[in-house]
Amino acid sequence: LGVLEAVKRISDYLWEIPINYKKGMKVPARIYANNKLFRSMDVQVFEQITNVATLPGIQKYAFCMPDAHSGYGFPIGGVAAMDFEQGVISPGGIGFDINCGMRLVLTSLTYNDVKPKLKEFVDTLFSRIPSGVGATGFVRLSRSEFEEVMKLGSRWCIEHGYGWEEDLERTEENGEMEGANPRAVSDRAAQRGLNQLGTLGSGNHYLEIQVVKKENIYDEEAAKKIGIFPEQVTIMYHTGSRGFGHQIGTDYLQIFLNVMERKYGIKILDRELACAPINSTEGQNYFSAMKCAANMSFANRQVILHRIREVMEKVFHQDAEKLGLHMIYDVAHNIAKVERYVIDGEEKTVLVHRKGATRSFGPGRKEIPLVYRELGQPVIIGGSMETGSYLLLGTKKAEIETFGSTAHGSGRTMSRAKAKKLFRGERLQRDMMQRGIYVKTVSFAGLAEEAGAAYKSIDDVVQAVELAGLSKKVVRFIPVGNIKG
Amino acid sequence: MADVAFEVEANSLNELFELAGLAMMNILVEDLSEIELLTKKSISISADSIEMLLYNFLQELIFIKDTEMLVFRNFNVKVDKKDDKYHLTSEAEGEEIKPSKHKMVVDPKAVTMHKFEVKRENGKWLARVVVDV
Repeated sequence: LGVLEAVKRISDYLWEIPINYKKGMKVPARIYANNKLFRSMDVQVFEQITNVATLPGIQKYAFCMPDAHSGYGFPIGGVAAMDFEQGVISPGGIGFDINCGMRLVLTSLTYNDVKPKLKEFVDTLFSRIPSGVGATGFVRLSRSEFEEVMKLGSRWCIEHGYGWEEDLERTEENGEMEGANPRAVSDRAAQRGLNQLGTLGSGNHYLEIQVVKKENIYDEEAAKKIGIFPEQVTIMYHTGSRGFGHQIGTDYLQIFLNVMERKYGIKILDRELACAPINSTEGQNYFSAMKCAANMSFANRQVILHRIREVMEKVFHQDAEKLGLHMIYDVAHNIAKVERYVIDGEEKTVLVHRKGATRSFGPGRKEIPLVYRELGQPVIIGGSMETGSYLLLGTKKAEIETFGSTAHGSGRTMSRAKAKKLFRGERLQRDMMQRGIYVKTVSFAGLAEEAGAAYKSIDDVVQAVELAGLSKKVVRFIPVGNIKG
Repeated sequence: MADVAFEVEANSLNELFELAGLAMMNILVEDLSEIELLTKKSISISADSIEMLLYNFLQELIFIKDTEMLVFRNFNVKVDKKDDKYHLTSEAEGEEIKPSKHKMVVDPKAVTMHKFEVKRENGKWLARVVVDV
């Protein structure tokens, strides 16, 4: 039976692949998507999510978010919660770019304030925040300092003058995952990461200047509480742990492949799903190394925020406090987290793998900073560089249904190679300029690969998560300036 | 997250590794002829299988790119087998990345096991590699 014949439609926004679809499935797979997004998903996504459903210790369902597309082993946009005592940890369920994530920053400026200086603003950011291939970070670290960054994450940055105390509570995990042990990190990984703190990266990593339009505010009360107003300029960026996280993923994939079957008797359907029991030495070492990469990534986004504040002080001749450069929030969308949920009437500790998925906790949850606790957790969804992005809030329904998870972005629909054939970077830059978006890039070929048409519609993705009740819309941002690595 | 895939067909094992190395460089740099032969770097790798030898070799190129900022145009690869292990030496020639000189495309960050394959067919060596960028 083909997978499409096996899929059952549960509701307008939910599809299910039953447990008997594939041998070894321990739970059914569930796909959150409207009809259009579901039909546009590649079949590989369904094969991958049903492979995930065979992993030891998986709870309730293996989930796909509406922006799901096929990845290595796990689909991107995949969520799997593993029993903390009996389950496994899998680097493929977290992604190579550990703690790739989004950060959103407010300003007190309006588009009219920024417009006359937009080019200077973007050009200065571009020259001050290294991006692209072979860029080295603006924070120079010794090996022992880098180990402190692995342990302390954003806290290291604040202690060394790269940011404000308030930035910490507005970062998932306060920017510092506990239990990060640099001894679990290989020498090669440390060497790759050493000169990358304070770099944006390349590919789909970017920094964007955005504008709030009155008609794009969907929840006025929440927007006001968060500090959002019509015509406001905001800054959003997307980056991760760079080569450091990738090397950790690569190292542990090999370690797990060597011990998984021989030592733990675990059989998997795809080498990229390599895993180890959470409670094993190898599993604990990977989790600890993953936290080092997560902390490096929080620190990377933190030092970049510091740079943005410096650049804006220079370009707009006011200090950062007067410019209102407060963070809204920082979310991780490639990560595994220990969380507690009620499963079949019992409270249970699980390790939630989110790969290309964002945590989406509803109001009241203790992990949410006090400033937002009544509202629900801010969820930052980045679109393609041409189309816009969203701020959403988490919901109780997400906690009940998807282990507090929602979408992370738009998800590609076209390969990089195809996008490069169809679009020309220089032409795209001119076209975007005419539409009022000033883009600065290191690589025109890289720019072409990121054309808006290569991605799913962000509006469709957000509509689907809202329809499903996994998060609710607050505001949509439109891009006016963009830096691409 | 996104990826770039390439396939290599070669008449010998040495050539397979050299072409795969060039394919990796081509993910980074649009026009390989822009890479001048200014620096030499000796690379030495061992593995239990030819497949893992290629995987480790490509991973090493990413590592050298991140730590020494070097890209190459010549690899001069020699692969041999000793005591059930495969060994590779490469006298790679190239230079440091200069964004003002080289048109850079995208940053390869990891070789993946996704559809990764090395095989011999009708006297030719074939490899398929998916690289995370």
